[in-house]
Amino acid sequence: MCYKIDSSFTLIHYLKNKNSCTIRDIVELKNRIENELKSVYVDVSKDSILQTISQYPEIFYWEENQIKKQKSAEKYFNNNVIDFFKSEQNSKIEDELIKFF
Amino acid sequence: MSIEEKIFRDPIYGYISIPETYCKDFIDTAIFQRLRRIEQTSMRVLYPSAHHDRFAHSIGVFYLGKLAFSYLEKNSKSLFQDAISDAEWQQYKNTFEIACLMHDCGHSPFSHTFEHYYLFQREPEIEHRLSCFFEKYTNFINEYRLYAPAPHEKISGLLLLEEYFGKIESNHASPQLAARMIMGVKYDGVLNFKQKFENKLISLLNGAGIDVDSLDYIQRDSWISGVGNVNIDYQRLLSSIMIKLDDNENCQIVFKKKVLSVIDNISIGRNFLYKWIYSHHKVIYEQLLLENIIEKINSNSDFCKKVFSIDSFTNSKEFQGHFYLLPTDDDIIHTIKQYIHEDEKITELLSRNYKYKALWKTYFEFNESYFRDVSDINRMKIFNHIQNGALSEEFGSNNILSIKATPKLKNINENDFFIEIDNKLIDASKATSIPSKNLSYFIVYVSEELRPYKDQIIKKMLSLQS
Repeated sequence: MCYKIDSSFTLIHYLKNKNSCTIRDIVELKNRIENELKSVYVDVSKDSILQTISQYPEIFYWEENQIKKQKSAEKYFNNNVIDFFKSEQNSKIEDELIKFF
Repeated sequence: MSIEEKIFRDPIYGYISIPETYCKDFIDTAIFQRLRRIEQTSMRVLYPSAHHDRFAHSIGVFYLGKLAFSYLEKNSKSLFQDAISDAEWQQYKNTFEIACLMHDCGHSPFSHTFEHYYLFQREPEIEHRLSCFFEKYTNFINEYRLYAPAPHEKISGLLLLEEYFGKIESNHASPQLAARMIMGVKYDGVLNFKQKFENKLISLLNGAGIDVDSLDYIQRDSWISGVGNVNIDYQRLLSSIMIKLDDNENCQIVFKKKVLSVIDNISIGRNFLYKWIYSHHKVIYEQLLLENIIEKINSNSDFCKKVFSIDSFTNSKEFQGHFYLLPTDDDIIHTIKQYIHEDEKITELLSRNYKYKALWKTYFEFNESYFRDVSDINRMKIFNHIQNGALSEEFGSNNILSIKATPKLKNINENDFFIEIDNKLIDASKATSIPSKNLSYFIVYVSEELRPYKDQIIKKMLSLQS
């Protein structure tokens, strides 16, 4: 089995308690996750990250090589909403994934 | 000395001349010929004639790259007389052309749908194999992590270095720079002039704004499908391309103001394809079907690990008595057929007699007809409730399916490239049409028997918002 984790899931969970991060931070997180969870592939390619940012402009923006959280975006980090970013596949291993964030 | 060339007939550009040495060293190799059996897009479900492959696309990108570079050299050479010698211009030209030709050589069967399998549990190994080709004390690995290439770009870059290194050098080109161009890995930090210049060549193949890769697929996908998309005057565009220094001594890709309308058309044409075709409800449904089928095969075996392996480009990989070398779309379909009695989704895929049909087909319908008064937050909550089975009790657990639709709409970013007006460089991002705000949405599919209950289902869905 190979569970693909989209960058939208990674970004929304990573920025839950932070205001910004770099691609390097996300790549390091990816390496930690994949090292421990052998059935997981975390997609953090620049294309997919930029796609997530352009797709959810109310939540994220890109500035000075950092991915930042919009000031008015806190409502999207609510537990009832954040599930929108999980896929049918990664919901099966959600509990194991969440501990990395 | 004249260069011997071979001529390829292309439906978009007419005759394309390619040096014989490139044919011998790159095109007439099994890795490149494999691209004839990797379909370019998943749009064939919509357009019966849209049958085109990454081979034709690669030849097209080579043609545009060759044209772009010849104009770039013509328009910019005099500006950099002291900084770039004739021999260096020639090396840049060869490197750029080879990178354009080979930029997709590592694409996976079914392209983006399965490309992640190549990297599954192998990222450290691929990073190590790549780093062997770059000098010990360069910043390459840091830059590689910073620019985080897509899976197919990593595989294409590595294949180029491992399988074609000597051939690239014998064509007076730089393998390392060609790999950077394919992967979009720019130099970072304090840069000298050459690195700044090379960064612009990298973005001309693999950039966020206008690059020869997207310039080809926008035209080719539109033409092959017969869809009425915009007409892009690529000759007018490329004839005005140059690299110039801005006020801060940084190199910038610059176009003359006469191509403003072409730049706008590229933006419109690209977003048209993403909005109406690549995110079409049938396309995303079929992709999900294919993913589910392969994951089911993979769940009890090591199919993906064996077949989607960079080593399968050079050595046969055995899986359940079948041998896979240079895997293509056909190999995946062949494998799927072996499991036809174990998964009813396979019959559904092969017959295209889909079990589920979309309740709405476009963002416009979703947004204006049904969800107009529903906030973003509530749309997300409704999607979550559906995923958690909120409609199952009333309509049955196997009768409803919801999929997020994610069109990759984008505008030209600030600082991607510039327009020259009265000797001043103006940021081109101001010149293009701005795509509609967030087009993320989801599509709900229902089984045939639920189709007559569309109104009740939508009413129930809307009642799920808190």
